[in-house]
Amino acid sequence: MESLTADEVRYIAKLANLYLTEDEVEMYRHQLTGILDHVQSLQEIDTEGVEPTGHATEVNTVLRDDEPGTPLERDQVLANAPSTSGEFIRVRTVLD
Amino acid sequence: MSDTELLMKSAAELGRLISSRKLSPVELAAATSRQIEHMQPVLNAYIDVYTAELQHSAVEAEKEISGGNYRGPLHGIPAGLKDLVDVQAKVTSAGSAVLKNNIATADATIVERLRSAGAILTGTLNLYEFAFGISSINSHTGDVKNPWNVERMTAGSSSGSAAAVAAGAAVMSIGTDTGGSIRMPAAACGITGFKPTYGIVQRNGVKDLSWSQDHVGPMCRTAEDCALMMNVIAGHHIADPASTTRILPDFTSKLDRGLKGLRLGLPSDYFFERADPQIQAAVMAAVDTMRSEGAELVEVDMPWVASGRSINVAILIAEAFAVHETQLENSGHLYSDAVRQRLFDGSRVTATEYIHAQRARAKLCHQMAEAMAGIDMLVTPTVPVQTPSLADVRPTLDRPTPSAGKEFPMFTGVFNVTGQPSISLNCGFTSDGMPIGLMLSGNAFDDAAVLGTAHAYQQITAWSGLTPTTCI
Repeated sequence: MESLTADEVRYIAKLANLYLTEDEVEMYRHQLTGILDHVQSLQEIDTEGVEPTGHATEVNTVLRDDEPGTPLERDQVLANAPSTSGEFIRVRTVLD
Repeated sequence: MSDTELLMKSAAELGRLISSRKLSPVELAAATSRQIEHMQPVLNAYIDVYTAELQHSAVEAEKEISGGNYRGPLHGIPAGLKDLVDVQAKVTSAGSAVLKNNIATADATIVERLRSAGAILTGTLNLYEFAFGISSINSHTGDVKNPWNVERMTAGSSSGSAAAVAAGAAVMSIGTDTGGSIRMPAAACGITGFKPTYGIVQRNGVKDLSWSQDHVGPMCRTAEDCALMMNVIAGHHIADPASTTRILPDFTSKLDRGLKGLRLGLPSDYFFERADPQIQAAVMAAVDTMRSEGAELVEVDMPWVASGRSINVAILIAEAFAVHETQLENSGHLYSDAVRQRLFDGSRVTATEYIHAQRARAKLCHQMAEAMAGIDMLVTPTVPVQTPSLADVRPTLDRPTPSAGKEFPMFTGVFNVTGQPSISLNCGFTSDGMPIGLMLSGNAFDDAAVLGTAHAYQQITAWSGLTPTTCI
C-alpha cells in the first residue's frame, strides 16, 4: 500500500487529538507498518455470493422461549404505574 | 524439597500433594512468593504482585482443606492473570499508560470462577500494550525477558503469563489470544498454551481487542493443567453474548485417550515450507513420535490457508480501532507510537473492506471445515521463525517498525479467524537452546481431544516442564 498523504496523517492525528508539527507529519507519512498490505491482499479473494460472518462459531442470543402465557390483569398493570387516569397510564407530555 | 523442585511441578501434581495433605498451600504460596521476588528483577513478568493476598488466601485455603472442605484440583494453586483481566479494587492497566489508574469495580467472571475453585491469585502479569502486538517490548511497564535467555523476547502479547509459568513464578496463568498471543509466548517460553474454541470461555471483565477473534485461555506447564483450568473457567455468561450456551464437556475426559487411531492432518504447504529448518525438524520428529504411538498421518492440501493471517489482521485492526476510538480521542498522547500507529492503520479500513474480510472469513471457515473432515486435528509448528532478541524487535527512531519477529503470527492467526481450539506445547530446542513450539489445532468444540492429544504426547516425551537455568 502507498504511503499516507499529509492530509491523511493530519486527519488521523486529529482523531487522536494529537498536534503534529510539519516535520512529524512528514515522518508519520512514511511510517507505514505494512499492516494495511494485509487488507489490500484480501481483494484478491473471490467472495462472490459469500455471506459475511460476524463470528467463527455459532453465537446464541439468550432469550426465553416465545410461548403464549397469561397476561397481567389491567388492575395489576395500573397498580404498578406511577400515575393513572381511568384505564390509562398517565405519562409526561412527549410531544407538544 | 527445594523451591525449584516444588515450583516446577505441574498444577495436577501439586493438587494431588495438597489433597493428600503432603503439601500445605501456605508452603506453596511462600515458595511462589520467594520465586517471584527472585525472578521479578530478572524477567519483569509481573505488573502487580498480590503479596499480602497470596499469603492470606493460602492460609484460608489451608484452613478449609484441614476442615475437610477440599474444593478440587485448583484449590491452593497459585495463578497469575494477564493484566487485561479485572480484579475487584485492583488496577487493570492493559499494560498501558492510558489505564494506569483504572481500578476495576468487580471481578471478571473467570476470576470469580478461579476464586470459587480455590485458586490463589498471585498478581497481574505484564503484556504488550493493550495486547496489540507480538513482542514483549513495553515502553510503559518494561520489557518481559525470556527465562530461557534473557536477551530474547518472550513473544506476546501474553508475555508475562508465559514467562511467569516458565520461571515457576506462577503455577498457571491466564492469557488472551487474538492472533496467537497465548500460543506464541507459550512456544517461545517452552510452556503449554491453549486457545479454546471461540466462545467457550466467556470474556466478561476482560478487555477487548478484536471482539470476534478474542479468546481467553490457560497457560500452564502441561496440557493436563490446561484441561483442569478449562474445567473451571469455561462456560457461558450473559454479559458476553458471543459465549456459547452449549453444555460443555469435562475437558479432562480425553486425557487417557492416547494416540492410537488418531487421524492427524499434516498440511502439505504453507506451514512447513515456510518454517525454519530447525523448527521443521523438531516438529517432524514430534510427528514421527506420535505416528510410532499409533497415530495415523493424513496429508492435507490447504493452499488457501495463507490468506488466514491477512483476514485475521484486517478484522483485528478494524475492530481494535472501533474499541479504542473514543479513548484515542481522549488520551491519544498516552499510547506508544507503535500501538497508536496500528490504530491509525485500523482507522483507514473502510466498512466495505471490513465486510469483504468477513466474507473472506466465512469462505475460509468453510474451506477449513472441508479440510478437517475425517481428521481429528492439524499438526504444525506454532511459529515459523526462531525467537528474536529483544534488541532486534525494539522500535527505534531509525527503525520504527522492526521487521524481526513479524513472521511470528503467520501460523497462529488463522485459528483465531476460524475459532478452532489450538494448543502450543514444547517439542524441542534450537541449537542455541530456545524452545520450539508444536501446535495442534482441532475441530471446533472438540477441545478435549486437542488437550488429550497434547497430554498423550507429553506423557511419552520429556519436553514439557523443563526448568530454565536462569530460574534456579
